[in-house]
Amino acid sequence: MSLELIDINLSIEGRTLLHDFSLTVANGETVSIMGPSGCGKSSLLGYLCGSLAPGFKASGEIYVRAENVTHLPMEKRHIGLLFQDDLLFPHMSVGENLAFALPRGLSRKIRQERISQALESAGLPDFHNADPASLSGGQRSRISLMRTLLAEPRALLLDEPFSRLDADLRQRFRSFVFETIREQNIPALLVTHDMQDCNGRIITLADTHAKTGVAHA
Amino acid sequence: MLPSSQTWARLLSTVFPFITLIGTIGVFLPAFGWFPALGFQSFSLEPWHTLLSTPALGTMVAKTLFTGIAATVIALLLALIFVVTCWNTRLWKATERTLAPLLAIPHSALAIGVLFLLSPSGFVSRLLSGPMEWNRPPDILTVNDPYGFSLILTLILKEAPYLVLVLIAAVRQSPVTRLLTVGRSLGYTPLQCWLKLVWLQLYPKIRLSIFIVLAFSLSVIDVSLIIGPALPPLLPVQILQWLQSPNIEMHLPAAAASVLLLGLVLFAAVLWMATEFVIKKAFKSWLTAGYRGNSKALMVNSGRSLWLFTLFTAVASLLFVVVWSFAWRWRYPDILPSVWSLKVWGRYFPRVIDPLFTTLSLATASTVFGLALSIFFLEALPQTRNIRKNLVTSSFYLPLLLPQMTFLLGIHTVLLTLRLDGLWITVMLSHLLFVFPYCYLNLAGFWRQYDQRYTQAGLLLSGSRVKTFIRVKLPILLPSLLTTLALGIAVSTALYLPTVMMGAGRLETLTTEAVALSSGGNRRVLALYAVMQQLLPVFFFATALLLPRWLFRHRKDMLR
Amino acid sequence: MTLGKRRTMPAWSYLRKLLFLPIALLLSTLSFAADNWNDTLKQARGQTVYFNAWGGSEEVNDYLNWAARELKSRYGIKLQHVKVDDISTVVSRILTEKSAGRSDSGSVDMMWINGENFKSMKQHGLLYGPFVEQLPSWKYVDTKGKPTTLVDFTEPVEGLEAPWGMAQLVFMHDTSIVPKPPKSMKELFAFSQKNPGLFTYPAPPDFVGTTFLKQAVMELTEHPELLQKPVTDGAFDKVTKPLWAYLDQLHPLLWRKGRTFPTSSTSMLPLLDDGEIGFSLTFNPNAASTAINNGLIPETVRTYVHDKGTIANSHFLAIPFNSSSKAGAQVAINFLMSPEAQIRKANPQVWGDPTVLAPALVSKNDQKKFAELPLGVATLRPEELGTALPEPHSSWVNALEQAWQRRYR
Repeated sequence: MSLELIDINLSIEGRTLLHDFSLTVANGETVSIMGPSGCGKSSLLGYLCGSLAPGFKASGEIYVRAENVTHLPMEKRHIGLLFQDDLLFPHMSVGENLAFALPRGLSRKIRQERISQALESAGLPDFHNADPASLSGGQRSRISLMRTLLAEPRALLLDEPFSRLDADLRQRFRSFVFETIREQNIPALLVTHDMQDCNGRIITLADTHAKTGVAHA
Repeated sequence: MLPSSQTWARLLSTVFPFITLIGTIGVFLPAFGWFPALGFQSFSLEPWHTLLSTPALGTMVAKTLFTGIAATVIALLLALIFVVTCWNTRLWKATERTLAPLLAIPHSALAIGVLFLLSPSGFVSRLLSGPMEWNRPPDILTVNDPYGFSLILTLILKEAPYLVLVLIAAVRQSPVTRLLTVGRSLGYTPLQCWLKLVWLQLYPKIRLSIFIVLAFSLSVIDVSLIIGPALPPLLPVQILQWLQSPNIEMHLPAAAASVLLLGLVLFAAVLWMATEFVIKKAFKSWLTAGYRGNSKALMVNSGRSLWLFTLFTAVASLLFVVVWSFAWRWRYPDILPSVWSLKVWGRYFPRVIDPLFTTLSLATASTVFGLALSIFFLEALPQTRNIRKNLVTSSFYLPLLLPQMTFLLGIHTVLLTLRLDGLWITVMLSHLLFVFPYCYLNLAGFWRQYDQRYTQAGLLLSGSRVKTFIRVKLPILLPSLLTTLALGIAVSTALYLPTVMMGAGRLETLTTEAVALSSGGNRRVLALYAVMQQLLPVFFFATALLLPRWLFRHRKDMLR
Repeated sequence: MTLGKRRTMPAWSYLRKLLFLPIALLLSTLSFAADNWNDTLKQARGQTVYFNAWGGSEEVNDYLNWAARELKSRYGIKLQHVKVDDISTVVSRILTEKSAGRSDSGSVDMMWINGENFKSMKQHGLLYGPFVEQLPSWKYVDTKGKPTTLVDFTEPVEGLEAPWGMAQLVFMHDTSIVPKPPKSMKELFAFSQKNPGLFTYPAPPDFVGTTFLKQAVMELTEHPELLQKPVTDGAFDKVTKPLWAYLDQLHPLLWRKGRTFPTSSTSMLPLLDDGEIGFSLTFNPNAASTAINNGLIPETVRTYVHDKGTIANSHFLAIPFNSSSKAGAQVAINFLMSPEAQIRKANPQVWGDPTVLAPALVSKNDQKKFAELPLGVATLRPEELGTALPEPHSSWVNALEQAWQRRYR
């Protein structure tokens, strides 16, 4: 009962993308959302995290850990994001990128520990002072996920996080992500084109030109 | 391009930096007493003794540093506040539209506007006169104040928009939306995201411009003459006064003072870099300490208001210049003129025509040369992605990074010996020294954005490089070429010192006339010249904007 | 248009100049007969004369525009007014040109000059001439009644500069703010104690500002005779001690509490117009009337002088040694010195600069015109101008300016 969407409606320029869409994602579960481009899956993520582009009309309630976050600004929702681009900050070292996500008020020692743990989990223990630019694609993606998680999100939204990686890396990073989500025990919503990316429940959104977006479990 | 054109370009590209360096080094000779053209043939420390015994030298130096650095810091802060608080708002778009014409207006015209706005008998004081029951202007030092606050304000009104323009360009090249999304998804408020993520990535991109602003603010002459401290004047003005003194020996301490000014600019630059370093160290832990910030609407709104106020002040002061040119009687404390008249225009406009043509001929010639050279270099020099790492192209900006007074005095020393001062061509070339870097800086951006595939397609179809260049690339880049042309004309129109020094007083431009008249007694005629100073660049910017719209009215993709 | 501003020198004109040079040299040593004047007129035709003159006054600029039109239509000379802030800059430029060996085709053909600038040019051999006493208009000059036309700041003119106009330091006061003006330095101090912030003067080394210093020192010192001799350290301290004591006390009572000063006497007009100050000072006795006519200052402004008189001098026109249009410059100067041009210049509706001519020496017709000149509403009649005090020796100028700057900048 950790991420709950109730009666979400989404439309743009009078065209309905989602109609009364409801969904519950349990802790540790990853629900995948599939569908052709323009079906509204990315807009749904935008609505959930609070970055919906102007022009969209949207309604419906979002609950994270039973808290209604629908009207909170993005930074107060405690929803983590992972994109297809890793978006590591080029002006910080790898360690600083991770530290940036840590909550405020932790002691220096605890911060160091958490960062070391995260680097460990990403399989990059000696990369604290490394320049993000020197990392490979797979390494960057793992750091990016770790950074998202260090902010202690209560839910996770994944926007095609695997699409930029080549086949081999993709498989390994995929398992890494799903394992981590299970470990952290948070609900996750994954948007993808690729059936292989999915793990667990899959929801396919219908073509946007259809009158209603229907969820098929 | 022919293979040899690259060699030519390399050779030619060293000319401007070389001239600037010659000027900078050249000034050391008279500074140490050697100026054979004037009959001084032995090295001595006498010029330095004279300089050091100048009344109030310490005050002048301190105030020059203070005004220059304060103006740069505040302008930068304002620009920072603007991008942080106004991004993705209507104010941002409004700013984008008003900025180019505002920047095109010469510093001196703006200074005259601020003078009309803020002097004890200015518009602000007139507005206050009712409630304050002032019958006479208050006896307060608001302009030409000894600390240079009015000078700082004028510089800020001009430099903050310049930095904003540069920042807007940098923002366009940065993934701001995505950085904000990532930062906010990690729980940071937009303000904190701007400071910790976006700003730190923008800053390196505008650093060169900051140093240009710093060097300019420290060595500015025309604005300082109009609105700066008068007693004692700032160092650059004092140098000019010495150069113009009937006492020829004063040339030498003037040269020594130019070396001192160069030292001040270098000192300020080093100070700036040291501060960058300290701030970077000090804020390193702040950056990753995890402070998420509180959204304070008040702060955002006051930031926006501050920027709005800046823009408003600049525009208002320019408007008062226009009002003054139509005023016949406008005594204190009348808020508007009591007698309006076209007399000023009717009587004095004929006199503007000559300086107007001189201004136009200098501006168009230097800009056309500047544009042609820029295009030649952009086509013929191998392009590296990172401009700042390219030694040749970065040396183009030398004339903007060094104090004008210093290297112009050095160049003047040489020209004087060769009897080449006072010629139209000399003044035009001295304008080119400043027009060219701006043309190049501006065009390089557009050149990089140009989609090379058009040229490739053109080559395949026509088989001729020249034809492709003229028929495909130039027309596609025409709107950019026109705005660069307008920019070059604006830069040349605003130049004061090169015109006065190289022109030996013979060439009168709108700017030299306006500065000369600013010490005179007729505000209406001064206003007339300042209005012309405003109209000229605005006219060219409007043309640059509207002409492509008309030319390409049936080519929708060209108008994006 | 702009190309026209450059001195283009086609071969034929260059040749003519080569021929003209020895002739000019010859003529300047011999006396100028009427025939020679006709030659000069002939050579002058087609020349461009770069006239470097202070350009801060619209009235002066307008007058010179008129002169340029007349010279063009009558003598085929193009008079180009090069406006300068301070003529001393031009002196230094010519000095530079001389040091650089530029003994022809100098950048200046004619200049408006007097006092220390004249002295400096004369000392350095930068002046062409003597030529003045050979000009046809010279015979009208009032050398008897106006001795300053022959001795410029204690420096003999010796035909190296042509008198153009007369000047005397006068004060303006706005009667609506200052009904009864103070008529001596002592009264000025007493007045300022009661009405602080109303008076100021241009910061030396501005010409008028320095003259105010000279006026003050003349009124205050107990040794005025020393001022007519070259300055010495001892004399300077002795003479100026009361001046500094006076200024130290006066400055806090001035406009802006003496923390800043106007840059020129013309820049005081807007301040007077707005009532920021109640006074102005000028070297042109007609300036107040002219400024009222032009809507620059209130109609309530009047002129006054100090009881013991004020400093007076003449201003002149000169030709630099390296001018390439010496004939044109002489014709222009002769015209500007002619009764016709002088009458127009003296008209307060035009410029209002007092003439250097003696009305008794000009034709009956011109005498009438001089007599009919309107007297401006704020202009003093000649007898009201009081005593014209002679300028101190020019070496005092620099000493006073330096000392003032050391003390007050």
